[in-house]
Amino acid sequence: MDAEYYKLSAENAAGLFERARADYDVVAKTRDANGNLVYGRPVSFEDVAFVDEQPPMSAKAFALPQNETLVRYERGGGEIRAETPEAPARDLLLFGVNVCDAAAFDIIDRVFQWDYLDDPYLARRERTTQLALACTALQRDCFCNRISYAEDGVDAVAYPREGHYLVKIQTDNGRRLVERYRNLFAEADGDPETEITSFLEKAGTAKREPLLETAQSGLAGAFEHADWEILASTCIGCGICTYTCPTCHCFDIQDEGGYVGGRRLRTWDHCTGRTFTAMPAHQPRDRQYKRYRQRLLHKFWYYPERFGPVLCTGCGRCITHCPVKINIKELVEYFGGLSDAPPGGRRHAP
Amino acid sequence: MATIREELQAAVRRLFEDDKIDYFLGYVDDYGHTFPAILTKDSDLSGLTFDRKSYNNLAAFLPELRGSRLGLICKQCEVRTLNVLAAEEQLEREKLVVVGVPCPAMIDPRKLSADEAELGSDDPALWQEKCRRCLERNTPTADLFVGEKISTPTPAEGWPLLEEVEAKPAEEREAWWREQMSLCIRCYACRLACPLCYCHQCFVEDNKPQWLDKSVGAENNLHYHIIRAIHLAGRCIECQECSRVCPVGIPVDVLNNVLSRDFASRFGYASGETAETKPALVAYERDDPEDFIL
Ligand code: SF4
Ligand code: SF4
Ligand code: SF4
Ligand code: SF4
Repeated sequence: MDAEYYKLSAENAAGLFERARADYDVVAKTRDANGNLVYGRPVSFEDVAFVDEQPPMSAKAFALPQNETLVRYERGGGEIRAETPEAPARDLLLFGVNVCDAAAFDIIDRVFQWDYLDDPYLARRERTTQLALACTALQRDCFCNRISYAEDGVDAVAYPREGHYLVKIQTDNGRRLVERYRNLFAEADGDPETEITSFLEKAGTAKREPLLETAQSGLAGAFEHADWEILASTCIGCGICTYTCPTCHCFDIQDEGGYVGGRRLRTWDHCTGRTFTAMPAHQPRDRQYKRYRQRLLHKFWYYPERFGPVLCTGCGRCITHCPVKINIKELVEYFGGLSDAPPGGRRHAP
Repeated sequence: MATIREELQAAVRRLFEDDKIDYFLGYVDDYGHTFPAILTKDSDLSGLTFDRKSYNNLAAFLPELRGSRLGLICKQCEVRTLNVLAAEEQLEREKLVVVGVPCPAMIDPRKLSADEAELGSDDPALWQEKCRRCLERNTPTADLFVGEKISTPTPAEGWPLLEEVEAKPAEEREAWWREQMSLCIRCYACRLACPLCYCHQCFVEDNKPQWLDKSVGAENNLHYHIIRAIHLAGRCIECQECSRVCPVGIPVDVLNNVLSRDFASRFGYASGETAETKPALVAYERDDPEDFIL
């Protein structure tokens, strides 16, 4: 569809939140018991945090929960009863999430409907509407300006202006949201695309030198590069990068329970962990740097080769929260041949 | 006068030139962060530094570099860790060159604002809790020392967060723990960053028998944390890395602090004080109090 532009006053934004709570399961930024920023379910507009900063955990869990029961079983009275859980009962509205989080869904949708249709994921996705909030400034670790992801996959993006938001509607899903609460939105005046362009310039989030186009061919020749070992050996394999990442989507299948009852579920898993590829007799990725290398190359080489976009929105979480501050952007630039200087000046003995 | 950064870089360059070490384990700064790095004689040493964001306990990387001749920066956290590792016969001390430093105290990363103005302040309220109770700001037992010794003592506080948690009535305390545990995503970063969780295979990875379900939830998460705390009883040296690395902000070390405090008050024992100090659960004295045995 062609994009549509509306004005949403600050007052009506509060009204939208309150009214949407009746129709949707509304997820927004808020604070947890320790005062830390999280995506949660604030009960009033005052509890919604309007900040550029991203919560450590991305919004992906709302489509791909960390644990998801696939089938439950129960044994008794001479029979076994099995049931698959119901699809979610309510529509989900991601209210004021970061654009990099909203954009991630469109990227991972491709793998969840590539050959096999992943029903639980797709059922949640189908019921999700995103109203993203554009950041006012690029933060220390973010690099969304270097990632050419398809922002037009995001249903609606709100750009904060003086006393109101300029809302750009990009999908039918987004249009339905506006139609539902039409009296809260006014037609945008002036030239909204120019206004958005200058907003992005000022925020530092306008696209420039996308990493994919410039680094992919370099990365394709860098698998055996001698510096992986020295640069990625400090990785402790925790998977914080993966679990906090809006686009990482690997999972493991587990059985829990026993003879009388239990469940089969999937749980998030991560390629940086040492058990990920471990087999009884062999560990093909036998050193930590090889596991880290898998993560980087999957995102910037294998995934785009198969599905188009890079598996990254440049949110920077994997840098901010990494215990050893491994920097994926710097490493893509270095191994992709865009920079001669290894991060931190480390080099392998030749 | 040379800065600690310059002195450190010169000292490490000399270690490589004199062929004393194969690797140097230190901190470098780049892209707005200070982080651990493994350096070789071919590395550009200009990023090497020691500052108030030199958080990681470098002893956690020793298993990765086992067998090589290694130089490493040791603040008091690493010194205590090396002592425990030595007592547990996990250390090749003769292969190490311990580079001592004056420790300016680490600024609590959760108290750092975007412009990091806090880094210039000397207010202990901004420090990580461990730094407020640290008793030794200059590395003892260093093979070589760089920088100028600090003579200002720390406030020598105890365990304020633990006391705060303990002051809660039982029900509230239970709710507090349940809340914390429900946040945990079981990335196990707390265990992986811990220099004393060095088991090749942790109980959480076993699947025959499987001690712990893989799914997350307050019960499973608590199960993990309690077992880990017990495995570290009398061993934890309170570097607070578990809490610092936790992506969801759980003060993991409060559990370990309970045990540390009990060892201190009952046995006058502090983990990692000297390389000869046997781990509390290994040592036995005839006059150990036995009042908790029924
Ligand atoms: S890159 Fe960082 S966050 Fe990711 S597994 Fe390694 S240490 Fe953990
Ligand atoms: S790879 Fe890192 S920067 Fe990219 S989306 Fe994932 S967490 Fe964000
Ligand atoms: S680091 Fe935090 S989230 Fe990860 S396992 Fe430890 S307590 Fe849980
Ligand atoms: S928790 Fe226990 S088993 Fe696991 S690494 Fe630590 S000491 Fe070993």
